[in-house]
Parts: sequence; structure tokens; C-alpha cells
Amino acid sequence: MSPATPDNGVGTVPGGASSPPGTAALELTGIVKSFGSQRALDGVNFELRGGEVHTLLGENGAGKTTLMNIASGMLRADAGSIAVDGKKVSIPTPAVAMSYGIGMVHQHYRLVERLTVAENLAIGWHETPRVVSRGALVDWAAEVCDRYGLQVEPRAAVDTLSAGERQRVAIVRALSRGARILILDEPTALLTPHEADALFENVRRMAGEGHGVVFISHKLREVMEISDRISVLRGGQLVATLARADAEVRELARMTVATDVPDVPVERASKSGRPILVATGASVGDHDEGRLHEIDLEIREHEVLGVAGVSGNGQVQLAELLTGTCEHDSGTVTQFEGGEAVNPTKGVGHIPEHHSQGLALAASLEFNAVLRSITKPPLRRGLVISRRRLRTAARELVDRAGLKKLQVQRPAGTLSGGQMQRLLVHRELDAGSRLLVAVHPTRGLDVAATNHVQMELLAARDRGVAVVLISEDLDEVLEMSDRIVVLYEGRIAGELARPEFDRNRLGLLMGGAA
Amino acid sequence: MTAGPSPIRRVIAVLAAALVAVVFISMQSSPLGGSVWEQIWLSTFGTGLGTTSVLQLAMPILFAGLAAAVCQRTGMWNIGIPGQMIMGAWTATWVAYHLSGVPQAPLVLAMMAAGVIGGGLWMLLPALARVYLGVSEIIGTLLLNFVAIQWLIYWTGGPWANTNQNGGGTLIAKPLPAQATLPQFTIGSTTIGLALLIGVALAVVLAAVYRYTQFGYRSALAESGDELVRYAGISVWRTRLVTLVLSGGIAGLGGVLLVLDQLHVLSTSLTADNSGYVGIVAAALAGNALLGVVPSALLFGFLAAIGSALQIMDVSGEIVTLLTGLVLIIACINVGKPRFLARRSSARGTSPPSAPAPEPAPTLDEVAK
Ligand SMILES: Nc1ncnc2c1ncn2[C@@H]1O[C@H](COP(=O)(O)OP(=O)(O)OP(=O)(O)O)[C@@H](O)[C@H]1O
Ligand SMILES: [Mg+2]
Repeated sequence: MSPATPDNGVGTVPGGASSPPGTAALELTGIVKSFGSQRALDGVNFELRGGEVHTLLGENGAGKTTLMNIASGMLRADAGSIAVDGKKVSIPTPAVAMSYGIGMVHQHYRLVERLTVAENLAIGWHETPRVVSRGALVDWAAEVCDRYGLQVEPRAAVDTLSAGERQRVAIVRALSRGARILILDEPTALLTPHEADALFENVRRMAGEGHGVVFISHKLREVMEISDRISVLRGGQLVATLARADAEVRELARMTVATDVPDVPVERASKSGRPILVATGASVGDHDEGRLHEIDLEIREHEVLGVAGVSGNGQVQLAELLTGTCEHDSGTVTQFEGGEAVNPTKGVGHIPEHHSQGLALAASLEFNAVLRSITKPPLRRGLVISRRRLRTAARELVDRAGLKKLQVQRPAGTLSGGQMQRLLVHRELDAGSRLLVAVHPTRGLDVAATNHVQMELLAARDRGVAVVLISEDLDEVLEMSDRIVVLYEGRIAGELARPEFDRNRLGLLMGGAA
Repeated sequence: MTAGPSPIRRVIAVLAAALVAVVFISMQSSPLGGSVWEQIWLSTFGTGLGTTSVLQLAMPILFAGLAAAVCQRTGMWNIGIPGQMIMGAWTATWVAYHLSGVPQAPLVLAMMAAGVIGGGLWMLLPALARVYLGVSEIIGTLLLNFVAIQWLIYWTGGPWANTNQNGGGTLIAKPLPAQATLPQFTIGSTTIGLALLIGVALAVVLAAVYRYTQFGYRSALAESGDELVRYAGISVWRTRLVTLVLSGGIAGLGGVLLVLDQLHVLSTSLTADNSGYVGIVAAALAGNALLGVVPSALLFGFLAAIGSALQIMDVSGEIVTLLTGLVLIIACINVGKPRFLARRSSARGTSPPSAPAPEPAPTLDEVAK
């Protein structure tokens, strides 16, 4: 038993009730699931042992989330069976899943934003008493957080928390309800590298206590770091299950997407062009809230400008400032095209932080595909929209985004996370003929799609587009950028050109130490 | 493009409501002799007269439904349809009093134009408040209904009061010029008013506008929420303003046509059939599909005819109000619900969890001690 979960006699540590390591804690057999005419899962077998971290790997739309939604009672399989500790069970609802000790932490955590951490931990649980004082609730929540070694302030409202803290709340909620099997769907997608490290430590400890953990991720490096076993899904079928010792990054990538993934070129001709955007002393928002202070920045044609920094240091505001979607309070921002000043929204593409910000989830794929171009020729002629051109343009974009098999009339909200991101990125690549501001453009994308998008960004740069890459992924920023600025507490803390890139120096600047 | 309830759910809504109706109506007995069912059949589609009344009752619901659907297609609500109908009818009446010597066609056209303008202007205040001040259009439009009703009472009971006629509880204005009527077409023993045909034509035109024009797409964008609108950098405030005023104009037109087609005079019975509110339900049932409002309005016209048939038989006509509410609830159940219901029903066969429940973390009770 880990020292991080002190047994103070109030209850016993759930780890004690876990299945013995090495036996199958959760077994999915022959799982089939179709959505309409599309088969998302086609007879998948999956086994999770107690005490292991089992990674589920697969391209976007392979069926990972669907499979785990079935295990956690969010969806029902059309066929196949589920066994927990060797006993066949039926899991119609998340509550039933929880009673078997299966808890899932979704990518967006499913917390009630306006309630406090303590309230979120207690809400919707049959063991929560109907009447309880606020003080008792807070004490209880603090104790529970302590028990699992996942610190969060119980009185804090969830909407004030960072992504990492929210995730901890979601994990504690699952554990405190007795989860022995924890399913984490792309848990690192929204985390800072530091938060991800903390998560890994917790995952390892939970596994050490006998919990089984299903881990879904597209980042092969962390998959190799955390997994005991790795299963690869492709097109709704299980391709392979292997032990980490038998796995190798390049091979995993090939198994996942069935093609070789080329490297992003390291050597690139640099060709500095005319300015596209010049900001001088631009400030945005309330100064206490750490928005943007006196930004001086020049963005040029033919250049990828990387913006590094820990999230929450003004990235969102910077993206909005550059794309002309928010007003600056002081200073000037001037946008140019071919040396002439232009309207700040002309030829601007914007990949926002979350795909839900850029997509109408209830509307069709088709509508979303043409969202940016619908009010302009050639789709619009006078007041009239050409349905024929709209349909062709939408189909063409959807195909290019690697979603060939999907029907364009489907609501965008039914796409897998990565499929949404693909659609959004490709639409904005088209829209950004002059300036493209990309916030975490490869978030949630599989290895091939990530590579494809990176290549597309570089191709845009070669066409003369000014690309601004805002990302927490330092590797990506280093790999892609011609120049890097570091954002710290709403200020530009430093600037490096490609020849002087240095991971340590960037790390220091991001931490505000330089 | 609109994410309304699925067609299947709409059909279920109607069937479920019909089922309730069957149960209730079967419990009634007809004082006129013969079965209640027979009476209902005779007073709706069973006779030419019945069909005529169904179509007449459907006409204002159609206009109200279109007014409601247009707003919904931009993600807004128009709860002020009764008020806009009143103001449309009032403005048209004012025009008719001043143009009493004009021949039928130009007079009717002028009245219709006046109705559109009256309804649209009445919507202008809540529309501007919504677009410029962000005041909910729901509240604005709803409040103006009460103002409009008082306005109607004032004019029909005061300056325009018809002193020669005693309408019982209804206030009636001076008669309109005799030529202020719309043609009716007779097929067999059924009569169809031109007003209804105008409504169907309007539905077709609006459907085309929403499908083929920039305006329709901007509306769909506006419906998708403020964050997306801001992000897409496409301005929709003009779209919202135009939509609200258009919606008011359609409702106003409905009000004039009700006068021209059926009432032939401005009176306080203009909103007696609640068609302004029923239209909102009709639009919801149609999932805000503009062409779908046509059959939906006919259905509610049919229900309204049943209601009056029951009333004539001295059986409670309230059943129709009940049905309308029921259809609304079933039609509007949100997307997540049916899956939940499906899950519940399939969960019934499940045995309770048999796995040993793991030791839970400290419970609230324990800590609270
Ligand atoms: N509600 C739904 N309706 C229709 N199709 C769906 C629905 N949910 C998922 N799908 C489809 O099922 C397939 C599997 O989706 P799933 O979300 O499981 O993918 P995933 O492996 O998690 O992908 P990602 O890596 O992008 O998250 C996809 O093609 C997706 O479009
Ligand atoms: Mg997924």
C-alpha cells in the first residue's frame, strides 16, 4: 500500500478490494456497435488486468471512445459481452458501471461548472446524504482528495480551475465511488507537460495499488512511458495487443494508421518576407487578470512564428488579438497584405483552443465545412447561395480532411474528437490565405493526421502565409517554428530565432525565470 | 440544417396525443345521441362544412407557425404573435377606414401591406432591445401582447366602437367597407379561402429563402450560438433584426387575413382562438421546418375543430388545450431523452450488480461525525 494514501481508520483504501494483479478485471468480448449504417466497432475483444495500465491506440475514428463508452455504460453494444472479474455482466448505465467499479474520465470531465469541487464530488451519488452541512461536505471532500493524494481546493468553483485540476476532481470522483477500473480518454490532451507528469505519477501509483487503468492517447512517447500493454484498434477492429517490451514507436505508428509516417523536415530554407501584422504596445483586458500587456510583435510572410508558454498566460487573448476577434484597449495592431494595410479579418484562419468553439455541433458536417466561405463568392452570388457549389465544396473539404467515408448530412457533434479537429483545421487552412493562427492545431489528432497537418502548415508557410503556432507542446513548437516568442503572464518574455533554439532556455522563459 | 426533433419523434408525439384523446373522448357521451366519434367525424373531415372549418381554423395557425419558425431558425423566440396579429389587423383597419372608396383588389392589397407593416413595427421595439441591448426577446415580445390587447379594447370600445351592435362580451368596431373581403374557392361542398393559399405560398417562398440565400445561412449560423458567431467573424446582428421584424410582419399579415377572411371586422375575438400561441406549438412540432408548418397547422386546425365540436355537444372542449400541450411536450423532449428511455427499458432485464462492491471511501456521514 502506498504511503500517499494513509489509512486513518475512517474507511479502507479501495485498492484493497481490487482484483489480484494479472487476472482479467474487465473483459470485453466480440463487441459490435453501429451508428446507423456505419459500423464503429466490429467484434472487438479487449482485456484489462488488475494493476496494469493498458493503452488503447488507434487512428481518429477507430472506435476507442465508443468502446470505452460501452464499458462505462454510456452506450450499449449491439452485440458482444462484458465480464467483470470473470463474471458476465450487463452495463446499461454509468451508475451500474460504477457499481462494478468501472469509472470513466471523459475528455471534458463532465463536471458541473458552477458548483464547487466538494459539491461535484458529492453530487449524483446515492451515498451522499440528502441533507448535509457545507462544512461537513468540505471536510469530507478534503479528506477524500487527501486519501488519493490528488490535491484540489474543495471550496473552489470548478469553473475557476485549470484543466489539470478539473481532471483531478474527475479522477477523485471516480475513485471515491469505488472505481477499481479507471478509463482515461485522452487525459493528457488538455494538460500542460507538468500536469501530465503529475498525472502519470498518479496513474502509476493507482496501478501499483491494483487498479486497472485504460489509457487512451495519440502521443506515442507517453504511451511508451506509461503502458504495460498496448492494444491497437483500426477501423473498429482490434489489430494487435502487445506488451510494452515488444513495442517500438515507429512500429506502433505504422500499426495504428497503416502507413509510414514521414518526418517533418528539419532543414528548411528560411525566407523572411514582408510584415503581415505589426502590433505595438497592444494591451487587452483587465490588467489584474493577467491578460495581455504591451505586446510588441511583428508577424511576417513565409514564417512560422511559434508562441510557447504555459496555458493561461494569455494565449487565448493573443489568438483573438491577432485574428481581430477581440478589441485591444491600447496600442496599435495593423495588418498588411503585400505591403498595404488591410481589414484585420481579411484572409485570416483561426484554429481555436477547443474545436467546439469553431463548429456548430448540432448542424451538419456540410454546413460546418462551408461556414467560413458561405458568405463569399463563389458560393454566394448576389443574395443567393448555389446549393450545387456548396455541396461540392463541402464534400471536397471533408474528403481532404480525411473523412471520406462520412456522410456530410451528419451533425458535426457525432464525430469523434479527432474527426472534429480535422474538419476544423482543414477549413481554417483554406480560410487563412494571409494569416493563420493555430492554437494547438494537432490536439487530439492521430499520428498520421498530426503529421499531415504539420506538413500543411509548412506548405502554407511556403506559399507565403504567416503562420502563428500557439502550443504548449514544446517539441511541436521547436520542430515547426522559424522563430519563437515566449508568453509569460501576458507579456512577451523572450524571442529566439531558429538557429538559437534551446529547450532549456525556453523552459526558463516559460517559467518566468529569465 | 436545423436540429429539430426527428420526424420519428414528431409522429410519436402526434400518436401519443391521439391516444390520450381517444381515452378521454371515449369517456364522454354525446347528449345529441349517436356516438361522440361520429359527431367528431361529421364536424371535421366527414362533411364539406367540417373540412371548411378545419381549413379556416388552420389559417391563422399557419401564419403564426411561420412567424414562430422564422424566429426559431435564428435561435430566437417570438412569444408576441397574438400582439402582432392585433397590431396588423388594427393598422389594416385604419387603412380601410381611410380608403373606403377604393375598389376591392387595391384595398385588400393595401390592407395586407398595412398588416405586415403594423406587425413588423410592433416587433421593432423588442427587436432593437434584443440586438442593441441584449434584452431577451422572449420577455419583450410577451409583454407587448398585453399592451396590444389593451390597445384593441381601447379602439374597439372607444373611438371605433360600433354603437349599433351588441356583441355580448366581445367589443366590435365599425364595419369595414363591404369590398374588404378575400375570395373563397369552392370545391364540391368545401370552401377554401384565398388566405390559406397565401399562407401556403408564403411557406414555400420562405423555405426557398432559407435554403438558397445568404440570409438563410446567416440565420443558421446565428442559431448555432454567440460564441461561434463571434469566432466565425460573420456579423449576424442585421440578420437577427431582420428576422424579428419579418416574424412580426408575418404575424401581422395573419391578423389582417383573419379579419378579411373570416371576421370581416376588427373585434376583440381576434385572438379568441389562441392561434398566436398554438402557432408556436405547430412550429415546434414541425421542427421549425417551414414547409413542415403547413401540415402541422392543418393538424392543429383539425384539433381545434374537434374542440369546437365537443363544445357544441356540451362536452369539455378543454381536451384540445390539453392535447396541444401534450404535443408540445412530447415534440420538444430534448435529444438526450429517448436514448435514456431506451436504456431504461432495456435495463429492466438486468440483474442487480452481483460483483462484491469494493470498499467505498469514507462516506459523508462518517466524516461528519
Ligand atoms: N453518435 C454517433 N453517431 C454516428 N456516428 C458516430 C457517433 N459516435 C461516434 N461515431 C462514429 O464512430 C466512429 C468511432 O468513433 P470514436 O469516437 O469511438 O473514435 P475514436 O477512436 O475515439 O477517435 P478519436 O481519436 O478521434 O477520438 C467514428 O467514425 C465516429 O464518426
Ligand atoms: Mg475519442
